[in-house]
Amino acid sequence: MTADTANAPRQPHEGHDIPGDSGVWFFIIADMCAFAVFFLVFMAGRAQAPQVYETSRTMLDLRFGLANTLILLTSGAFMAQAAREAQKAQWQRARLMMIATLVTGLPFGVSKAMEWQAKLAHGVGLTTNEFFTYYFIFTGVHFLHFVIGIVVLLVLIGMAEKPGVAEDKRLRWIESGGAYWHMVDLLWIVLFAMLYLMRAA
Amino acid sequence: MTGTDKPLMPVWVIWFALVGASVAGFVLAEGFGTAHAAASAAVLLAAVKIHLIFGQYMEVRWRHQPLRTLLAAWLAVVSLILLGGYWLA
Repeated sequence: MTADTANAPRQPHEGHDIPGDSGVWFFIIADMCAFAVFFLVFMAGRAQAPQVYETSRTMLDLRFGLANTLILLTSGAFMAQAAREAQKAQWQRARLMMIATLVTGLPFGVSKAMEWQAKLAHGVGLTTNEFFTYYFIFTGVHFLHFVIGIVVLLVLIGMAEKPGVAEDKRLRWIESGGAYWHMVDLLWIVLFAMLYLMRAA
Repeated sequence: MTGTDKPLMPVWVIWFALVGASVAGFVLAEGFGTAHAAASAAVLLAAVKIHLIFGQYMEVRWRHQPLRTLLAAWLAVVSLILLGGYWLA
């Protein structure tokens, strides 16, 4: 590949114009719809007992929420760069960017564990009230998605430069993994706003 | 070049915008401004961030119209759920 072609503007890939695999996108859309139902259930509960939800919200540490957001945004930026490198067939750089995605994303797990531990140490758990039931379930389900994302990243890092894998296939895998990782990121953005930031009058 | 096939913005420019919006939401939640304005702004900032991620990081902005429509509809519905639920309380 010449320098010119390596730096050429990206074009939709021949044969498909969805970034990544359509099956993965089907899963992503379905998952996002499931989370939309979560958000609806939470906001309906909040409308019934706004004071309980507000009192509980103030018991959350906003700094953890912000830190988790910044961690995922930074990790997501590296993943976006990995996909761009892959589109230019710069597989080594794509792999490095995915390693950076993993390294900058892992602290989310540590931060989340610390936050849950702090809550449990103060006697706040799943059964404390409705707010915290939703808080632990939603952040727990989101955390499960994060763990799956970590496994996906490890697989992608392993195959990014593996010989014998067709470039088009490799690109689709990286774009699919990237789309999944960005979904983990954007679902957290909604959770952060809904659980931590929406203060009542 | 049409409006839908413009080159993507540099990843780190988007990252700065996302971080700025996140910090702004945090500052608002910490007590700046009235509660209703702060909560509404937090949801709108989240919507802007997600729109940026869809378009610039997931790169659906210039591809596959049905997928773009679906994601835009999801974002609109979720924003409505959050804002509607908040203002109806």
